[in-house]
Amino acid sequence: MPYSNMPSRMMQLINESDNLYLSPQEQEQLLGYTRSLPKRFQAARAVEAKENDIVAAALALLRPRYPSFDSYHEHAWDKGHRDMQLVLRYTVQAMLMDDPQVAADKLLVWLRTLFMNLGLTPQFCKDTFTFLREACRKQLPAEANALLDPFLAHSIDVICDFPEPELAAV
Amino acid sequence: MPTAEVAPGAKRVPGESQMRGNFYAESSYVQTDVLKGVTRNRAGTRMVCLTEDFLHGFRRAIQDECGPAAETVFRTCGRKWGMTFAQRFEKEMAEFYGKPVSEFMLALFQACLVELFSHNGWGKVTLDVSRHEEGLLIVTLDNAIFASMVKKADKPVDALMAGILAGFFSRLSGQELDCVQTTCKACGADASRFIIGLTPRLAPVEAWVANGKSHVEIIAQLASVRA
Repeated sequence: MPYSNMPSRMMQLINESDNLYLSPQEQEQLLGYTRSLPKRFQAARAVEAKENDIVAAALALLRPRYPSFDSYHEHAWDKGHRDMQLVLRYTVQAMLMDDPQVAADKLLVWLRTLFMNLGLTPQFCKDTFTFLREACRKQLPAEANALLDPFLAHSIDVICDFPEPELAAV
Repeated sequence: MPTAEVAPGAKRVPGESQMRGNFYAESSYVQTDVLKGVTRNRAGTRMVCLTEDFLHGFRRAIQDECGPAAETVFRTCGRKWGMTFAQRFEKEMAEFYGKPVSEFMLALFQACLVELFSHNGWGKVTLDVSRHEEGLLIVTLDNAIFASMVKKADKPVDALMAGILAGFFSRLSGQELDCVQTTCKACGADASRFIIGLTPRLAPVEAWVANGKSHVEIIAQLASVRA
């Protein structure tokens, strides 16, 4: 594994300890992270198995709230489905790496610009991904959701952080 | 670089072949092979970092060598550079997202443009297409490199960027476009602003800027004349 692709937690510890040996506390932090990996993988598999149900449940809540959405955008609901999948998949990557910045870097900041230029509103995005979060809470085993939820909350904060558009299209 | 592919289980959207995130994700975008001393982006294009010291020296050298023609030289260099920049952008985007940039929806194009500029250190770009019908594109650039370096000036200093934008959008639009800077942080504005349009249309703009017309006044005056 190339140095730059090391899991974030490991990378951070190595960078911080620079010319030193890892302290017992740092070693324990790393061991804690590695011990958590099987549960993280299990959570990722649970999300993967339920992905379609989770997204479908979120869309079912969203559609009645924004009945005109598909009059503004071509294939609006298909794209909404795809974007929820993307957010879920990258948030799972962040959870695996134990680093919320992974999702922000690889997807969320870019996707937020895209949403902003489409005329989506921060409230629309908040509703969309809060419904996704709720669907995760209902459909995932509690342990898997407990691992994923803080990362999903962070993803929602990042993706909704843009100004109101001049002309809303939702 | 892996080319566009359909991720397993991904929702298919008619007319779209990709389900991918940000090409410019910092963790994947630039890799350095320290043994070879070579830095490449994820498409394999070789890159090099330029410090502010280098850019100061570059700017001073052009000004010393070219005198009053320096701005024209910056603009001309920028234009050629911008054309190449756009060519590379088109190639990398098409390979990554699986379709030509000309088929991107506008919002996707804008999102990728923002990332292209920010991950190359050119500043935070905002593209305003609301004047498209009038034949004008407006670009706002926060933290433009020369405006940040020069600190104080009595006229806009981002001629290189004006050239880059002219070349970039000329290549993408297939039309000969020009670009004029109307505001500059080095002159006290909050950001650098540029107007892009057909060359004859923008011909008087530089003089308007020199005579103190504001960005808003210039847009209004250009918009009042049919393209």
